[in-house]
Amino acid sequence: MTSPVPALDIPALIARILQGERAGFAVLVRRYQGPLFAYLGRMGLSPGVAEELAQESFLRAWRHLADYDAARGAFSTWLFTIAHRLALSECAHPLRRAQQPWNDEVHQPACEAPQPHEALMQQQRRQQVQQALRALPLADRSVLALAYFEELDMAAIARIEGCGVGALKVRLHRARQRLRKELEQHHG
Amino acid sequence: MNTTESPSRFQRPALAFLMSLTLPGFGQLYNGQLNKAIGLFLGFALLCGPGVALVALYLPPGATMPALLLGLLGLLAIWLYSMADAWRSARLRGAAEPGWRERGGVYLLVWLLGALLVLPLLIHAVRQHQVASFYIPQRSMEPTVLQGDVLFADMRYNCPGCRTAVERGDIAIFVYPNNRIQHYIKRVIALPGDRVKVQGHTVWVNERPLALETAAIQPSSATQPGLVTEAWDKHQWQVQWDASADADTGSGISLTVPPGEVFVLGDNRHNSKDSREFGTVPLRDIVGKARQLWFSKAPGGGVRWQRLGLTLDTPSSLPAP
Amino acid sequence: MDEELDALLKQPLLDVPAGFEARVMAAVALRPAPARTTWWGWLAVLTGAALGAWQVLGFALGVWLTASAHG
Repeated sequence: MTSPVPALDIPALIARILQGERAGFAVLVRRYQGPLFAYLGRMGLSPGVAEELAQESFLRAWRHLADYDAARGAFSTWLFTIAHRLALSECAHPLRRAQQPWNDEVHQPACEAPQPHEALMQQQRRQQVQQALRALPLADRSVLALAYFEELDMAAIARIEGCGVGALKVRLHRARQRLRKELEQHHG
Repeated sequence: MNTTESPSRFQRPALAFLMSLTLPGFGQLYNGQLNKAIGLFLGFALLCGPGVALVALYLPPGATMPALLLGLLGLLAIWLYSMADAWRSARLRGAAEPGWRERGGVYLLVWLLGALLVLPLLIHAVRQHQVASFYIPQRSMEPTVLQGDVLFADMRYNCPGCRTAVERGDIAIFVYPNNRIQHYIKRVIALPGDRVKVQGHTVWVNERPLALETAAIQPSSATQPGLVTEAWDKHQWQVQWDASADADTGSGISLTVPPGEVFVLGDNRHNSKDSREFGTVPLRDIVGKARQLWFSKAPGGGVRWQRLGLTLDTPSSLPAP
Repeated sequence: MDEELDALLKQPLLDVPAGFEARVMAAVALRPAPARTTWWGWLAVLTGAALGAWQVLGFALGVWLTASAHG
């Protein structure tokens, strides 16, 4: 759940980070990690892959932090542009990965421990939604994934996707229809 | 387990591309495709060096020009493929073992070995011992070799263990005795121990005249140089005289070629600085035998297409001695 | 219907794994400070690439590159 975040002067924070205060970057990580993982989940990515992409997004943001220009757009737009490119590339051409399992055990429910009923239900629902999302074409998934992050308005998403706001709204509408149909058909 | 010091697991396609740009196969090494890297590099190296030797020396002369073109296209193809594949593979592949990509020192060593050792040495070896290319900026070997010709010289010539020894009539490339940073091209007329006599435009070697007939096959005129056919054993060639000097007999040359030296003359007898002027040339300074033209550009401008692929060794029409 | 769909999608489908922030900051600690990509950085890369390409061309044409044979 995203709790309402206090207003944060990001340009000032970035200026301090660039002057050497590396710890300031942790503030940005803490603020955007939740929305980032939620977005990656909506892209239909598995937990291990999502963590890889999330870390890479932050690292790339770090590498190019000096090139970020607050005048050109919000930091969230910039960060999610990076993440979106990575996610699209991954969905289109999944990287080959080594055999050892990633942090999956962190997310797998321990079979021995008894699960509270609501938590189990919620997890099942999540998996259903993710499966339904994965069944959608990438173009639909892409706009849906971006659309449910409050900090990104229509204009920002349109910039990230590289289309007009009008076209974006049409795509969004169609994507939601398809998703609904997918959920009804396969998951009741 | 995701370790705390894990490097970025994502390849950088631009880096892979640049690496292959500077050395074919290098970007493949970055992507962890060892076999492909070696294959591309070896393919490139073989086409650069031994491939040209193969084409210039071991194929029939008629095949030289097409084979050269194919070889050049092949080189370009390998290079471009290496760049494109490095980019593409970097985007698609996961990282190789993390250890690999952090070893900048390994990459530097590989590049040094490849670009500064293997390739230069290979090409140098081919140029020294198999085939080298020479551009002819002057006219002293007309009408056989024209100004603006570019030829392959067989370097498996006149060296211990080589197939071919110097013969009278060979067109030889040698180090100019009076300035050893220059190469000269002339025809070998006389070998060590021969007695040479040059009088005007007649030449005798061991009391045998070189000219086939006493009359010129093309008498010299105001516009055309005179042409005389000369021959010795298996070789035959044409020699050129200017009209102005036709009647000049002058003081001739008569000498015995010292041991270890040869006597050389340019085919364009009145436009040639040769043994008549700088004396005999040490045998060991003869580096190669001119074999075949692979390019020809007239001083005025155009490419002389009909000369491409021309072999320079005209077999004699005389019966075997 | 739409509100139900929206509610479904608004909930986080993936949780932030434990220790994620620590891992990111540890990786950041290993990296150099962010620096603006300078124009001379680009120039250096382009020059290096050009030189490298020039060298490769030199190899490709290496045997053909001619010395002159005078006369």
